Amino acid sequence: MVEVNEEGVITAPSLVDVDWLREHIDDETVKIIDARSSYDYRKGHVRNAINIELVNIIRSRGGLPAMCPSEKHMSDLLGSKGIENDSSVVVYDNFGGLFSGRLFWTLEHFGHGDVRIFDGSIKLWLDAGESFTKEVPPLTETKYSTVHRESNLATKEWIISHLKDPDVAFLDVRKPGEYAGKIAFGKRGGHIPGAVHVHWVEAIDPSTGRFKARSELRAMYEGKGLMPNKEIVTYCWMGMRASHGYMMLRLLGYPKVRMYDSSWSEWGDVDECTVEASP
Amino acid sequence: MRITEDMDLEKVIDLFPETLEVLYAIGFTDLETPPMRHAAKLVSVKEAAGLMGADPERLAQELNRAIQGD
Repeated sequence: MVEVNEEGVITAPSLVDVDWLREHIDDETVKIIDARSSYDYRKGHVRNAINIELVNIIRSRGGLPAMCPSEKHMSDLLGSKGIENDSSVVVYDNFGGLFSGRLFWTLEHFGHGDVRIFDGSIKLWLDAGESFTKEVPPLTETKYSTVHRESNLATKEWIISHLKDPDVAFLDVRKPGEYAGKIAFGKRGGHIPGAVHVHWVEAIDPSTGRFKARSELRAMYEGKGLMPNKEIVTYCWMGMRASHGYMMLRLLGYPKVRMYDSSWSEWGDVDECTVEASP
Repeated sequence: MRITEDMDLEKVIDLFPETLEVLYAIGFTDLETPPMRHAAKLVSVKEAAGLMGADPERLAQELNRAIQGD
């Protein structure tokens, strides 16, 4: 039984590996979600996996191309995929958790309680001697009830009002050059004042393609002043890498994490948002 | 022109689409799709290797071999 907080969201989401997936592949209470593209899913996927690709969970809004969808969209989507409110969901992808991270944040945003993440690229499944299938599992539509949680979302207004709050820290997960202001996607380069930098790929052990050990990750984030008792806001350019950073902190058990959905595509373009650049 | 480990993956694919086969072989199986193309913008060749637990030096060598037609 997983522990959940007062909002019904799991306290410390967990990672799963090949052995776990093999043991639960036919477990009807577990919904395996392939977060890769439908193109890739059609070529082959883990047996019983359902496909929810990035384009299913983002919507264009306010001139920004990859924003969180509406509550109705998500309840319809999850219901159409046969997911129930109490399903254990496990997500995999093939890009270091980048796509899983966005789905993870979205599911937590809409109140799904039990979301687990496959540790590493799903290539590890094949490397372990397991196989893919092209067979799409039969789906039984459900009535999914979303709960919209604002507490894991940061907006421009929220950030501006917390820029000097000592209990809030900002985590920039973009490339070092974006953080420093040397690469600018948008009107201005730089970072949110006071933000610390940990490039999102730093969470991955390049020798295995899996996430680094918890102790190593914890030391990495805490070494930057990102303590679990603080409220952490992650951001990037369009909310993809920021969702990955959000996921990593949540996997470490950080209770208060927000993802700035509009991220630098808004902050870098709006004059009222102050910008800091590194020398 | 040689492909180096610090080049953006997207740039490599744009300049040398013949490298896709090499990238497929290490686990990037759908780099033609817009979301994956966007993701490729976010990592260098070295970082892309790390996502798959592959040796970056060897990946760069194989990418260069692909564009030389060996």
